[in-house]
Amino acid sequence: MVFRGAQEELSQFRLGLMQGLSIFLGYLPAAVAFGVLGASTGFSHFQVAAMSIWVYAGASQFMALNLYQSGVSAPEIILATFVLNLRHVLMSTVLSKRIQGNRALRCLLSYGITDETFVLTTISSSMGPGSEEAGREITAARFAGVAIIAYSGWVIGSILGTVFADILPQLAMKSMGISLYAMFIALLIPSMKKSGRVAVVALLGAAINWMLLSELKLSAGWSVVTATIVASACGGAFCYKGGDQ
Amino acid sequence: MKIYLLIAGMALVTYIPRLLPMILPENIKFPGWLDRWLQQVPYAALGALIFPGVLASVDGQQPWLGLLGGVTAGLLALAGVNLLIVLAGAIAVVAIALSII
Repeated sequence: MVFRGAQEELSQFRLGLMQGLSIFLGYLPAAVAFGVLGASTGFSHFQVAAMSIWVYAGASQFMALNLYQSGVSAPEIILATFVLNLRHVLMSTVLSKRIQGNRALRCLLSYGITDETFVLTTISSSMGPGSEEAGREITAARFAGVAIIAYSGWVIGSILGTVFADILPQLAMKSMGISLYAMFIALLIPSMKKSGRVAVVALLGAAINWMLLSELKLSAGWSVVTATIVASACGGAFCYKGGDQ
Repeated sequence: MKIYLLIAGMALVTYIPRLLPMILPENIKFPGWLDRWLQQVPYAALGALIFPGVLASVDGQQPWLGLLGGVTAGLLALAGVNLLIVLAGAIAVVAIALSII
């Protein structure tokens, strides 16, 4: 019994690694770009690596370099980072209801929450590819697999970027820019086919985000989180007890 | 030293929002409406993350490249192929387009 449990965990972990490979491929070029920029901003290689290891927040890290270079003080940069990352409260709340496992483990796993690991683990199934059953529950082992490979992509890419500015040819860097979006779309299409409401909520999220960005000129961070809250509230309001998913 | 303090501060404020909801008591029950709302969050986030970001994903000056990659991914996903094949296909098509222009 114990043995079977361990087997199960291992296969969930492997599934997570496989699914997370798509995030790895997406983070790698972005992280290389961060490393290159960091090294040219006057951060040592070690400091660039330390930031990716400890902060692990893509957009905030780019912003921090930018602000630091313009002479903005550290407390102000930290405050801006805090605001930009508040959206993770929402994602972590959703995950706290769905990741199984004890609290210590879940606290550790929460370090791996990013926009990408959040949508990947909540939308893809724990049952493996081709499964119809998109279970609500996310096994800790699968989340760990996704989180670890995504994190490695970010950290390895950052280090490579500081050392070899041209580790990835320009063509590869640019075309890999599509990776995360291809992953998002690959998650979206099957869920839209399954449920009409999912399709409406996702389209609404996209439409609101677009409007906030182009009309109200909101920053990308605020615009995504506002669109997410509004669109999901609309979806929730029209969701009946026992309705689809 | 100043940079390390900056990194430490940033590390703290990025981990706290990720951690906080996880230390809530596990048996806390959300009201039904909140649960239904939270269930929709991943799909709403997905839509907002895709668009219009995808257009600038390859080259901010040439949104059609991002669109091309996105449509390729969409078609492959519709065909029901594996996630990594969707990725490889989209990257390949964008790379080909980039090397032609």
